[in-house]
Amino acid sequence: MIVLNEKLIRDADLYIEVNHQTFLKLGKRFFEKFSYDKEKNTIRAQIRNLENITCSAVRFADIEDFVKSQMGKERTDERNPPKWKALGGEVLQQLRQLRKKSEELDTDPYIQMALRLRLARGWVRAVVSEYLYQVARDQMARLGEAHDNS
Amino acid sequence: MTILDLLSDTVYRDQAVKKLHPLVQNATEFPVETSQIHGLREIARQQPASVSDFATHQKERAERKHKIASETAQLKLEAEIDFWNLVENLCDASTSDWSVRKEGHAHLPEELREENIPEKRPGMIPEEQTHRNQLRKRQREWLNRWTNEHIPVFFQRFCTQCLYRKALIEMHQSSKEQ
Repeated sequence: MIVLNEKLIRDADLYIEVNHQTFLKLGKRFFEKFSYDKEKNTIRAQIRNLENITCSAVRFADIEDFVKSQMGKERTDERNPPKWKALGGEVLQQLRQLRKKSEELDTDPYIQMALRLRLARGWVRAVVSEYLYQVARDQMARLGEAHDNS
Repeated sequence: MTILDLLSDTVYRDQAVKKLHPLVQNATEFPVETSQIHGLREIARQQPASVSDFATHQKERAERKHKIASETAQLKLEAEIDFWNLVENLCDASTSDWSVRKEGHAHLPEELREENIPEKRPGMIPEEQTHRNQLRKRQREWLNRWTNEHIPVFFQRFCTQCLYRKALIEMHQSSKEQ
C-alpha cells in the first residue's frame, strides 16, 4: 500500500481547498439536473453511487468510467431530460484536472495514483455535500410553504 | 496497488481513448451497435483468449455483407470492418504500435526478454537447443498469462469508451436535428 508523505497530503488538500468553489458549483448543478425524490424525500441513488464509487475505487479511471457509463446508458426524451449527458462533460473535465494535478505533484506513477484517489475523495465530498445542502434548502422551503398554506 | 492497477489507470485508459478517437472523430454514427459492444466486453471478461477470434469473426461477417450491400450500407459496413480490425490489433498487433500483448513484452522478466533468448543457429548443441526451447516456452506461457489477465481489464476501459463516444455522437446528431 502506498503511503503519501505529509507534504503531498498537504499539497493535495490545499488544491481541494483552493478549488472548493468550483466543486460546489458542480454540486449545485447536480441538484439542478437531478433534484431529489420529493415524494419520498430521498436523494437520487446515482449521486450516492458516484460518491460510493469514488470513495471505494482502487483505480481513478473507474470513477471516470462510471461517469462515461452513465452517459452512455442514459435514455432521454421529452419526459426525461438529460442529466448525466448534460453534466458528464463538466464532471470529466474536473476529473481530468485532478489527474493533471497528481502528475504535477509527483513523478512516481504509483504515488500519482494514490494522489489522484485522495484528490477525487476530496472532490466528491465537496460536490455531494453541496448537492445535499441544496436538497435540504429545498426541503425547508417546501416545509415553509406547507406551513404558510395551512 | 499492482502493475495491473497502474496500467489500467494510465496506459490502458489512454490507449482506449487514443485508439478509438480516429475511428469516430468525424462519424455521424458509431461503427457498431451497443449490443456488439456489450458482447465484446463479455467475451473479454469470460474468454480473453478468444477476443481476437471474435473480432475476426465479426469482421468477416461485415465483409460478407459488404459484398452485397447498397452504397450507403457499404459505408457503414466499412466503418464496422475498421472497428473490428482495431479490436484485433489491440489484442496482438504486428502492424500497429501498441497492443495488450506488446505491452506484455515490455514487462517481461529479465531472463525471458527477447534479447536474452539465444537465436537459433546451425551447429547448436542439444543442451543449447533445449535451453532455448525452454526459454521460448516459458516466454510464451508468461505472455499468455499476461494476456488472459490484462485483456479483460483493457477491454473494460475500451468498451466504456465506446459507449461514451457513441452517446456523444448521438447527442451531437440529435442537437443538429433540433
